[in-house]
Amino acid sequence: MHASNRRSRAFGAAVAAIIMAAVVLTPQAANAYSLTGCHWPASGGKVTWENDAPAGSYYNSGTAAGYSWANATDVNDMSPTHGLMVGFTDNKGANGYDGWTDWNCLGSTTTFANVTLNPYYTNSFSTVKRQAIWTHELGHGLGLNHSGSSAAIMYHCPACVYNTYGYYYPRPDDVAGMNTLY
Amino acid sequence: MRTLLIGLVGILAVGIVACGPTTSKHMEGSRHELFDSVRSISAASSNVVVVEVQSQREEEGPQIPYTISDAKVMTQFAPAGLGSAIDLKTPREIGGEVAVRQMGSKEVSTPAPILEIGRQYLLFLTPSMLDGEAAKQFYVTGGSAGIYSVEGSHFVHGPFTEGDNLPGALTTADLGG
Repeated sequence: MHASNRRSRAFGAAVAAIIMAAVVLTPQAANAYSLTGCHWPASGGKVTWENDAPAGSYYNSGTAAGYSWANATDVNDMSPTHGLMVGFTDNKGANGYDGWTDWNCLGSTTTFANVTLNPYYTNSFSTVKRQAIWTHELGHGLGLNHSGSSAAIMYHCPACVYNTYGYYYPRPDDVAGMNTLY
Repeated sequence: MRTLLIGLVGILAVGIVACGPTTSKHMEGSRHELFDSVRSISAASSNVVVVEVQSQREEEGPQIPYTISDAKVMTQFAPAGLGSAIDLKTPREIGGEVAVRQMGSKEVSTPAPILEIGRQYLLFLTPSMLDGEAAKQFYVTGGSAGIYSVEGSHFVHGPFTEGDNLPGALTTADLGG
């Protein structure tokens, strides 16, 4: 009887250990986003921008990218009508980048941002693939840095994300990051 | 007394302004492609060279500046697959000097480090594909991806944060040398 109790306690301890190990070892959905440290002083999340890209596919894909952030996150508006964040196209040749964003930061406040697509590469892209680049660059302009998730639009290479998964809009990791800012 | 007070207020005001937040300039981008091997980055490059940076100049752009480094070419390599993924109308020969064009400047925080005068680098290079004077210049392939610093008999990469998965160190044997 004594030995039976010991066996029972040992069995219980083993089951508890297995359960604890399972809890610890189960992959948790970790956030992979990162922040630039700068964002707009948005009241109620309201941000607008100015889309100066050429009319047609470039303008339309940029506008759609802006609204995709407003629709998916706590950023509001993103009308492409006016603002200190401005979108362009600028052919800079084979510099290795489909697009880029430069911004000035005063403390932790963004004071302006230029969002640029590089037609050297993007002229051969479809409209939705251009939207993937716009979404990524506007994400930088709003305050997100690169994500460690290869399925996030803020991954280092959004064209790769589009080619692999077909994504051209904010993904859950991007949304989680943006919602910490606005 | 009044003069002393005005002076103290002035000193205080200057101190507050001097200690206030300062403006910093940043740039991030969308890489066109990422590299995971010497072969893949060689395929996207026209030239692989060891250089020593001699001088630099900045070129103002409508949005961000560019830095052009004039470098002395010390060694050239022809690793397997060199240039096989790029379409060049004519082969790009590099002589004793090369002009390397990079986005940004030392005043703008960029994902790829700006080359430093007097230092030696192993560079994977791509023709700029620009017009005019810049047509003779080369970009570093893949921003930070194509930059290895020379450290003794090794070439050392990074650490960089642009998503590439390239070897951290290379030797001339890795480059077909």
